[in-house]
Amino acid sequence: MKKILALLLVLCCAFSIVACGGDDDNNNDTGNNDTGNNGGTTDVIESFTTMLYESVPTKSEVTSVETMRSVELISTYTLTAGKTSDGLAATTLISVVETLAEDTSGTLNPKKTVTTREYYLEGKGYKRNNSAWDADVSNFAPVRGAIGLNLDKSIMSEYTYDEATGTLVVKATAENATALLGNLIPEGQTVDSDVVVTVVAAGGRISSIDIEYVIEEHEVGDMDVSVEIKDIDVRISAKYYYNTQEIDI
Amino acid sequence: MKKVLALLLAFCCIFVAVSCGGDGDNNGNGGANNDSKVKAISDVINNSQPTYMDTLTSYNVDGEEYKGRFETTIDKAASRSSFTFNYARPALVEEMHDSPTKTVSGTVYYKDGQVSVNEGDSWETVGNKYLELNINLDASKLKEYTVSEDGNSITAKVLPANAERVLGTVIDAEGDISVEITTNGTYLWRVLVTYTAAGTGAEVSVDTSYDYSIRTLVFPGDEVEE
Repeated sequence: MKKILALLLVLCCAFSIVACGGDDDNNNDTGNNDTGNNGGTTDVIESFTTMLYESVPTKSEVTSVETMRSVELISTYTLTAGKTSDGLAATTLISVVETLAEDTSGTLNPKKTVTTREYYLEGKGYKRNNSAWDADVSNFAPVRGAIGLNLDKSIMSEYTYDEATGTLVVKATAENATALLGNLIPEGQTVDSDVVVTVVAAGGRISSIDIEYVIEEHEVGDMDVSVEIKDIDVRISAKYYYNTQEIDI
Repeated sequence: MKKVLALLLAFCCIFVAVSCGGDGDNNGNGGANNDSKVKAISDVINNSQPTYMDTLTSYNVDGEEYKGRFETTIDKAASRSSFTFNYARPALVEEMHDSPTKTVSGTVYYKDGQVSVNEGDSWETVGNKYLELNINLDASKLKEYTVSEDGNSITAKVLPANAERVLGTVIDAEGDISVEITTNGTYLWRVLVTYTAAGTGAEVSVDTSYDYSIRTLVFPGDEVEE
């Protein structure tokens, strides 16, 4: 579970805005390792790459569902950026993470939920839960920068684009998972399936990103000997909003 | 407060979408005097067909702030829309036994040329278009303005006398009205209007964000498929 955190936090992000007004592709576009443009119009992959860099959501909601055998662990991350009623810039990150709990009562697959609230407030700095304000904000990452999707056609096994719904679906093999998802795949985690990424755009901005793949996890037994390999289905859904947010801290 | 509502309603639009590709109005910004950059932004506004508009209002008078949120959602596929409001205002004398502030909220539903204000209990026939987006950027009617370097956004000052022409509604303001319009060159993203209300001296802010994601609306009384 902890290994998913970096991926989810990057999906909860406020981008740096670099306005250049990228246009959506006007043609349905499908490709299989092709690199050409469509008769001079903006290539859909280029268009989506531009939007990934330029979108500056005011709110991001990311839900992760990890399914291992019959156990489903659900985590949500909500990042909100706006101003307080006093006009101060503020950002909040609320994380609700489900993990397997150690339970000596004999309960099968017990869960526990950990909620973390992190805040940034202009003039005050950063704080977590009920801690004091820390002027050093390096601990808080209202991540600014492009989301880690690397829409490189050469690493895609296929992609399709539906202009009517603004939906780009990209598939890549497990070997190219890290290249496609970049820093979204935590170190040490092995992707054991094709990766499917669905990106929806509207109004020149990214509305949602959905990612599905399977990871292979080795359960370590006594004396650090791997005793079992488990497959964990990972489904991540990120939704992005761009309306003005009012922050209460 | 009523003037604020009139302003925000001018920025919210509920269309009768005959098809997903309904034509946007072009209110026209002709005239040789219209700056080409201003016209380009005006064209973006007139051609934008948002599916969601979210307006935050703030009315600040005598140290008291009254806030409101107004959301318009358009389901183009089903040709229907909803308008949800939640705002605070000073309580009337007869309302003051509860609180000095009164909160008003509700939802208006629109479909098939009819509107309901009572959760679908009854429907009344209205005209084809409930409200229109009436921002009309005419450079000659702007007191002063600055277009961003990329040409996509504009900040401007408008004299109250020109408010109806530029913003589609009369604004009784003391001094200039400030307008900030943000687009990406293709889609309208945000309109922020601020001014000081004449008479009361209230500081007013109307902040509208526009979105274009596909929306699906379920109305009271809709049969839900199992």
